[in-house]
Amino acid sequence: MSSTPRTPPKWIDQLLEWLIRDYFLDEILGDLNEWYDLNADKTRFILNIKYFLVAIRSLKRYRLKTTQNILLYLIDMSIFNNNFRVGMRSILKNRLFSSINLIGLTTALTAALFIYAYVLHETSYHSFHPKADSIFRIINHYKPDGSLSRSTTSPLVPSLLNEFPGSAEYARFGQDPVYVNIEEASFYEGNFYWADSTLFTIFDLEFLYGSKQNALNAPNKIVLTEEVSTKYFGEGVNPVGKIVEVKVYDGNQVLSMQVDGVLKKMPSNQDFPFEVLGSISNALDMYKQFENSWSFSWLHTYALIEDPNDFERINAGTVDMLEKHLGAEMASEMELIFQPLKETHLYSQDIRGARNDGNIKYVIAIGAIGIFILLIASINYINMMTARLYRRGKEVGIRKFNGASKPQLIKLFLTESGIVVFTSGIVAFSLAWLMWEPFTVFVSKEIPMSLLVSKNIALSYLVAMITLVILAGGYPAWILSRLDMLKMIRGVHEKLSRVQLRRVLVVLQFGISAFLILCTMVIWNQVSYMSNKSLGFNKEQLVVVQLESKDLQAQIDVIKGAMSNVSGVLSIASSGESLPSEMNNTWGIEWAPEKRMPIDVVTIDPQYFETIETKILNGNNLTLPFKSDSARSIVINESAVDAMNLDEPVGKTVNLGGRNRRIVGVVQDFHYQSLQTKTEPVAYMIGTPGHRISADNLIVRIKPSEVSSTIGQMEEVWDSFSRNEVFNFKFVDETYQNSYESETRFLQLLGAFAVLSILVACIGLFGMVVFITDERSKELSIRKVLGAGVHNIVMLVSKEFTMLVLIGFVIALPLGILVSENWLERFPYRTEISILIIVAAAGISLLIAWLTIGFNTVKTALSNPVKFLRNE
Amino acid sequence: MAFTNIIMKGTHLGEFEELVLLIVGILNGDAYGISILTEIEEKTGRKVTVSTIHTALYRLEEKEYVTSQVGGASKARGGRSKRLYEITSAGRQALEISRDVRENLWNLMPGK
Repeated sequence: MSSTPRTPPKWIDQLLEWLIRDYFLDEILGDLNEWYDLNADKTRFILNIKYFLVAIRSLKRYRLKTTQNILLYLIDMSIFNNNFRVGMRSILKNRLFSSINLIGLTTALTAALFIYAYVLHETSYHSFHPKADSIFRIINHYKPDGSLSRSTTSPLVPSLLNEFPGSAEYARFGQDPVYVNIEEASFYEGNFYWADSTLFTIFDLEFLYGSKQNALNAPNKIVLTEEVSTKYFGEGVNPVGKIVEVKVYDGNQVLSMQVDGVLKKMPSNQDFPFEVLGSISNALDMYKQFENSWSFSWLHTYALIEDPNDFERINAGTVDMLEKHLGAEMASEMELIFQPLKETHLYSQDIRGARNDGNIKYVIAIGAIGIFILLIASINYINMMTARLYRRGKEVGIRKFNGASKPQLIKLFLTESGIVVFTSGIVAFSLAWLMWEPFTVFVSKEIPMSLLVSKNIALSYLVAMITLVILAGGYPAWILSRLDMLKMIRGVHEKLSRVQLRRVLVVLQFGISAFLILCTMVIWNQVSYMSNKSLGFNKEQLVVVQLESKDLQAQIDVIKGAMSNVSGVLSIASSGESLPSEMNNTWGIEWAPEKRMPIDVVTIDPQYFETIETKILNGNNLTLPFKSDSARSIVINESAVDAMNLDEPVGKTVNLGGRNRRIVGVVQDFHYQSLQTKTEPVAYMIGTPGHRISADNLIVRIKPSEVSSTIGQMEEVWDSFSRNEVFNFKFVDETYQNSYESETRFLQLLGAFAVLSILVACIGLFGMVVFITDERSKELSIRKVLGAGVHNIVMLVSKEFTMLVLIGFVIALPLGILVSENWLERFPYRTEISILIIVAAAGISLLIAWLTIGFNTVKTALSNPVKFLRNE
Repeated sequence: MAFTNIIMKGTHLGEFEELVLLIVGILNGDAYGISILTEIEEKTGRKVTVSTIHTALYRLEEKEYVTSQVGGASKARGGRSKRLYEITSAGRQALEISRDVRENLWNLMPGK
């Protein structure tokens, strides 16, 4: 045996120490070590491997500790670990700072957890389909105006299949509101879609009842979602095989359809709109007139193309295909875009009719705020630690003097920040767990709680915490271990007091906060502008009643007459468009030779403008046909006049939809859609029932004092005409408000997280002020004794922070303006970033800072100076 | 046969256990993991690992053929104390029985 034995790898011994019961430990470890020593002449590497294998073999079950013992051992180890003890001592000694750190970090980590879950959920849309990477949505790009539409034509898929046989599968679905009758009950289904049976092979849709094998593979079959099935047949009932009656208004048919299956509730990270699916073969038969129409788009088309080569071929080949069917001129204006399925949620803001609330910009913004909040919290921690540097300086100096090495000191600080960060981490996680329900309600998304314990979040959370530990503990440790120990012991800290980083960090924190305040205010301003701006008509107390049934549409004038007798109805009009209007009918208008443009066409009656309370600027209202040749009369809006550049529009004859018509009046531009869309040229005319553009909406102005009774009476009138159609009405102002939902929700999210980040920044600032007033308490007391007033002292302390906050604001301002401008750009009717907003944002930042500073400075300024001067 | 009565259930002596027990007897008070290991390697040429010996010792102690006590430490052991084993009279008896069984059987072996 050599006198200085070679020792085996420590970690293996450590492992055995953790796992093996005390009774056996000495014998086993001792013998193993001795064995290692005996064989020390062998190659180190091989010996270590052998040692490891032998050690593992000694882990017999009867020798192992119980789990409880192992845990106890670990706790013992950490408690009796000196670093841990010193760390705990320092944390407990500075209770105020520690709690400020803990509160700040916990708030930040909780917010970060929520934000991360939100971002993960938003970016995971549709990814649960096994073939999601090979699925594309076909988007129609109309080049002249750059518009994108997710609607495609009936002949598209047959042509694609014909042109590129065997290389892709397609699934289509097309919306068609229907009534579903089950025995006595009747249900309006706005989200009824005709669908291909391939829907179930391309997408991973699970069936609760029935099977996907032959679902929708023949006419007269429907598939329900779980929710609808429960509504129709009750909970837990298997409806497969039952027959329901489906009344299709657009196709004017009543079909007996058999329930093929029930879809399981789909995960929350998908946004398919359908609630009931019917065999598309019914629809293709019903709408035969569109079979070869390349101009009527109504189907959403998804393609599954698994081979990238096929994808290239199809993507390139669609140009020729369109040319073959549309002719060179029309085809050159069209383009088919294959949008990857996974992008459909977040990248579809520009696609018409895509009513999803996802927006990649919002996700990035929220994610950035998450990082900001974490940054602010770690700045707090670094600030506190550096602020206390020269108090710790003495301790560190003595440690160094006694021979502590740099790594030892760094370990000490890392342990301390580790305790703080991981305690906050655990508390934040529990908080997120407890507040998950309110959080999902707040973002109005069913984000599954399982996300919180998913590998993704757990791992990133751990990484974030370790980064925090290293960042927050490492920096002060690094500074302290570098400093001259003699000076530190003597308490000379001129080198430290020059540390400017603290100021930079405060500027950064308040810069970020000011940036968030500014952005929130701009968005708030825009959203409130959109909800309050006058629309050019009066949207209050205005109700739209939709007539789905062709029978009722034919009697619209009679119904209108009957309803106008209801006492609470101030006025009533019929229109081919609801409010807000979708503008489904676009015709061509020619006002001079070779001068043509598209114009939206709306059928109305003479009461329309009067009912919605908008103004005819020029000329006359439309009149009913028997009074003049008003079937050929039109009223256009200001935008149309501007677009055609007409000096004297009234009396002019134009060609609209292939017929000569006379402009009898000009109506002011009013916002027939939400303020997110520009008002386009529109032509209004009187129509007769039975056309595609015929009136199918009643627009009713109701007396403010009798809203509910009036609607009740209107429903009675309705019931006397309809057989089993449901009375379906909407308040116009509500519908308008709903169209700003995505912005409103973003505002809420942004606002909430901005408040959180400001809170965290303030917690930090508060700590700094407490520290500074404490450090300077003697100086301030002497000033007081010498006659300084409370306001002098408050000013003295606030001055520096006010400067820092203002510098932060000045730095944040251009960035905030840039980002807000970028956001505002997409609104045709937008607000400007006024001086008022900027001043208000600066004011709020300062006010918050002052409130935070004020409390403590005033307290110090008011306290008895003797308290601080007595002990030296 | 008479001796079978003495061997109680669960006290059967395995081949390796017998070897270890013999070595413990031979080492006479200085038997612990590594000394047994080197002794076995020396006397029989067999290569064994420490953990096999530990397992055998544990079984023998359970059968009360050996007793153990904590002994001295050394630097080579990383400062950890030894566990010294001693053969008990029951252990000695078991060895004797085992030897007797063998001898009886040898006597029954037909000569060359």
